Amino acid sequence: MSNPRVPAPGDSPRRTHDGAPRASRATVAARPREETASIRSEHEAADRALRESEERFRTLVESANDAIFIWDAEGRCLEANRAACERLGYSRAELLTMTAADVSAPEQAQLVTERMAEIVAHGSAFVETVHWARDGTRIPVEVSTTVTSLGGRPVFLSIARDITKRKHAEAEAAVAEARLVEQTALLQSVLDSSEAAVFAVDRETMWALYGVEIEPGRSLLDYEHASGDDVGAKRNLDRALAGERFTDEGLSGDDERTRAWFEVTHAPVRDRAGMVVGASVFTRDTTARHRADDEIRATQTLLNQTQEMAQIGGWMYEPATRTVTWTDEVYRIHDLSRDAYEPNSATRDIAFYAPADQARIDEAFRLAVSAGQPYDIELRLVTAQGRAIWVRTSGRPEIHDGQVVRILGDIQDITERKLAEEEIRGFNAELEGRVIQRTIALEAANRELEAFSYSVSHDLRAPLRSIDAFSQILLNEYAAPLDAEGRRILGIILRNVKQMGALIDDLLAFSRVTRKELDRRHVDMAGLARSVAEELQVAQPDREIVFDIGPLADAPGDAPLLRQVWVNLLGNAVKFSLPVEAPRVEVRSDQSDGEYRYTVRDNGVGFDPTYVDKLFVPFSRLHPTAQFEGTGIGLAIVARIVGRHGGRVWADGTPGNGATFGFALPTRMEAA
Amino acid sequence: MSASPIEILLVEDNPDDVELTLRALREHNLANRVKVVSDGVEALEYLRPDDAQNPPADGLPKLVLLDLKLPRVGGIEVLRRLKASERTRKIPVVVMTSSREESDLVASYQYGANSYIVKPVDFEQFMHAVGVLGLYWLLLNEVPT
Repeated sequence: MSNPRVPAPGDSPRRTHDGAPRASRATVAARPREETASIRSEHEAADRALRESEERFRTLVESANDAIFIWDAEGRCLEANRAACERLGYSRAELLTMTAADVSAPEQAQLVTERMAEIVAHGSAFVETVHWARDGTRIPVEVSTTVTSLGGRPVFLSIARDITKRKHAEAEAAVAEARLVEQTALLQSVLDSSEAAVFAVDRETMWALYGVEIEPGRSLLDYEHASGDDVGAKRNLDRALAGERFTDEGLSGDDERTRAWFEVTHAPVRDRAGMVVGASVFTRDTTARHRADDEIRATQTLLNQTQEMAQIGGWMYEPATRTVTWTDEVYRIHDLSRDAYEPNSATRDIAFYAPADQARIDEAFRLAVSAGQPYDIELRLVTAQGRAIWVRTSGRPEIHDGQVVRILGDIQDITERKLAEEEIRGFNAELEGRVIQRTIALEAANRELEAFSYSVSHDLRAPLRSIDAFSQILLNEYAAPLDAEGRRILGIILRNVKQMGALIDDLLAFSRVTRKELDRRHVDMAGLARSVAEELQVAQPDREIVFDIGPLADAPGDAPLLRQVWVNLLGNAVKFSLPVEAPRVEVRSDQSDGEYRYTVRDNGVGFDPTYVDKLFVPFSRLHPTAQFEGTGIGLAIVARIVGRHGGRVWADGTPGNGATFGFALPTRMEAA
Repeated sequence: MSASPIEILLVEDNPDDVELTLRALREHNLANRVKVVSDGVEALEYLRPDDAQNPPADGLPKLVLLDLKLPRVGGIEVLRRLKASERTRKIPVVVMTSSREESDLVASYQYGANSYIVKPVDFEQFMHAVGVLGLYWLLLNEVPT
């Protein structure tokens, strides 16, 4: 690299003379010249002395380690020593063509003129500047400049000392200082951002080395004393100063509200050689952590107690760590203690389930972990103490970003419920069995009843027929041997046979009403009543009977059975009205309270209401047979039919003043 | 009984009813060729509905009066067997019974009974009924030969 400040060609360096320093010449020139021999010899001696002096001086200057320059008033170099040449990398001849600005670093060059004026004003100056060597090396220098006179002209004598090493050291020190400041600030900010209180004390003085709470010059012990535990504090500091590092926890405050927890760490402070020079105390307020711990403990206690009361255990599985956590109740359900067992869902936990159920829980758990599929199943389990119980266990996977991160589950002893269920199942089975038995018994009874009816129908009728027939034959073919009394008696026999035949027929009719399946339909009651009335009218051609049948509500029911109701009620009305002058039968209906009500009112002989309860009892009669024919089954059949429809019957009457019979049918047919 | 073919087979176990029936038939001059059997087994042995090779010695009757409630084999079963056989199915069968049971009535017609008569308790009605049905089935009704 070329040095821009190498003098350009043709720019010949200025030379004063053959190389002798101008200063010595100036000194020489100052002396008067004498022409005498003695003087000459004196001169010679003086010259010799001068040369010697000059020689010594030159040696002194040339051997100096500092660069020495002589500049003229314009800053041109008049002289430079060897040190100057070597340091700047120029020959003496070259330097003598250069100025003070030429050897200065660029930023210093412009200050040269100003400084020279200052030096002139004060006679001397001491400045730090930077020289610039030929190869571009910056050389920090300390320059001492004095104004002096040479040959009547003012010149500047500069002695420049190379302070590169000092500057390096200074720079390094500055960097180190800056780093220290930075690190200190960093440390300070770290400590400030921490909620911990930090002290450091000096071993000898026990004065604080660090710690905002301690005023400079006061011992930490003063503060410890104020807190009333200086003995303990001193002992702790002594332990740290002995090289021990330890952490204690302490409690302050008198009541629950002001109570505070502290965690105090004492540690030795060592220098670079490892010698203990002090102790540090690191105090952290752990009240919040303690309170949080207390709260967690309280919550856990509450959870465990709640689970104990509810007999529901909770568990958690974390696939990442394959860890299982059980609440107390889970241990209780398994008859395990927390110390004796560590849950491990993959293998050991499943072994508690009944062998037949292990595949199910294994599959459910595997699907929960791999596919996030929840489960809720009931299984048999054998506890650590060998109790066979039923449990219901469920697992609910928690999924984040498509990953199962956790499975929360519960487990509950449902043995009692299961037993109750089994008991209920037992009851039900027993009940069902009983129903079946009853049904069988009922069916048997029905069959017996049918067989009975059949017997009544067939077997009772046959002897009656024989009695009737042979009595009749006797009456017809053997009338002659019989007298009037005999014939009268045969008549009584025959009349009773007929009555018994009628009774049998009615009994069978009554039985059929009970056994017949109801065929429920919409029934036109007015139509039924009218057709029955017409038949009755036809059967009594010699009597005028007035039937007044109003509009009647239709009802749901079995038409043939309801027709029988009308036959019996209207027939009764006619039968008991025949003795009166103008028989009249009124039929009406209305609707209220979810039922249709029908009434049949006649103006016949009526009845004594005292015996109204007997009216609907089979074969009970309020009138003698001689007066009114009948077996006493008609109203019983009415009551039975209406009853099977879910309805009710009633009667109202007074002797000689007609009777009213009524029945009501539910508007909605219920299962009979 | 004579060698002449019988006209009525009366299947009845009650001797009183047999006597009354015969009396009623006699009243109408229909009692000459009546064969009486007292239960279903005897009826089937006589009619042999399942044995085409050996017809009854006295020939097949023109009418069967069949009670239902019979010892051993009941009337319904006799009816079923008669109507199931090619040889005997054309013989009119009149069920004469004391039963008013709907089930008996339905079963009788289901197996092909030609009439169903409930024996009246009243003697005169009984005489009348037997007379009418005898006249009808023996004298008025035409049967394929």
